[in-house]
Amino acid sequence: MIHLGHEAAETLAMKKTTLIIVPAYEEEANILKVLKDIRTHLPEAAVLVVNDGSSDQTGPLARGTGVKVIDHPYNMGIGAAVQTGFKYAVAKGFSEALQIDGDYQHPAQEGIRLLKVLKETGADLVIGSRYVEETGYRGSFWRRTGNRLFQWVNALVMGEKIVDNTSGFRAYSRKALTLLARTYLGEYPEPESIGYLKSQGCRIVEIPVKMRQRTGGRSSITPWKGMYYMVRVLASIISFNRRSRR
Amino acid sequence: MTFLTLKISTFILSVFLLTWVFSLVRRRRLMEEYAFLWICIAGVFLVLSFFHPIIDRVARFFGIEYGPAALFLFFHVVTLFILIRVSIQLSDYKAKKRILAQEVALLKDRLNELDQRLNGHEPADL
Repeated sequence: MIHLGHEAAETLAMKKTTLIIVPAYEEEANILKVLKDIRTHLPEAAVLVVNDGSSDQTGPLARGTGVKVIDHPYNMGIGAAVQTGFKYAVAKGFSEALQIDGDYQHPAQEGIRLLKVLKETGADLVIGSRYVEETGYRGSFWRRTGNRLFQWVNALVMGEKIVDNTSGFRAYSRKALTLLARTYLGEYPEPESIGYLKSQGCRIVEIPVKMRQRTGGRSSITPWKGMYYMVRVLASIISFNRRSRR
Repeated sequence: MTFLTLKISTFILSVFLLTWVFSLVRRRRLMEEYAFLWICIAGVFLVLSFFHPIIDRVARFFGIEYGPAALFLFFHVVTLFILIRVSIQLSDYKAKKRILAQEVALLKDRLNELDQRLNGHEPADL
């Protein structure tokens, strides 16, 4: 890493308006690949790894590459991890953020497109979708079934059809970041945030992206948690919709 | 004979409950708010152990033929409400705990950043 004086560092910091948020839990097998991918395709952006209380080498490995790492004192789930990222982005004055999960499923190259669409359309949330077009991604049985259910419910309660509700590959505007920094949406926040942001007058755009299949580490959603997850998310989507009507 | 046995066992149970609650409060293991609740419940047990006919009268009022069944129903409902209340509080504490942990993580990072500046290094990723 090149050493800069304080002033030079400050100026450079001010130029960075995009923050890449990488939530990571027990991802020592993937984190270096993810960060290298980001460095290659998004060299201009600031990178924040939120290490969600991993007991493996996720934190030290990420820190070794010179990116910013924030460590949760214990594991709190993906929802809390991305929210810590949102809080950081808002506090540091970033104007937009891109979420790239620490499991190497989200290609940074596709992230460029998400950010581009965010700028061009003026949307507050751009979701990278696996299912908008055939992109070669299948996902597990639970993910596909659950996603179909969320799709149906979100369409029913919001009148908007979002195809990939569970995708965490997303670009956020400053407005969305501010809203999500102060509202916690549960342990698995992806489907809920759509309803919530919508209720706050945010514009949501979905574009097709290519995703990789998971190679190392393990998914945050295990099959036996699937049913529990679905019921919880459904309850929360419905409750947000009711709140927004009031 | 059986009636007396019931009286004695209910009495022993309520005295045990009261003693336990008081000792928990004394050792500061139970907050007053909960202590009050459990003392009330132990109190109800105690009163019922002495004035047994109350159960039958209350049961008849609600149209329940068998006294002890009313007693069971009563305590089940009370337990249910206590459980829901505890769940609500637990959720509240969990949310507050999360906010605290996030604050700690962000502040720790800020501290590191300031430390590095003091020592003349540029903070990570700036």
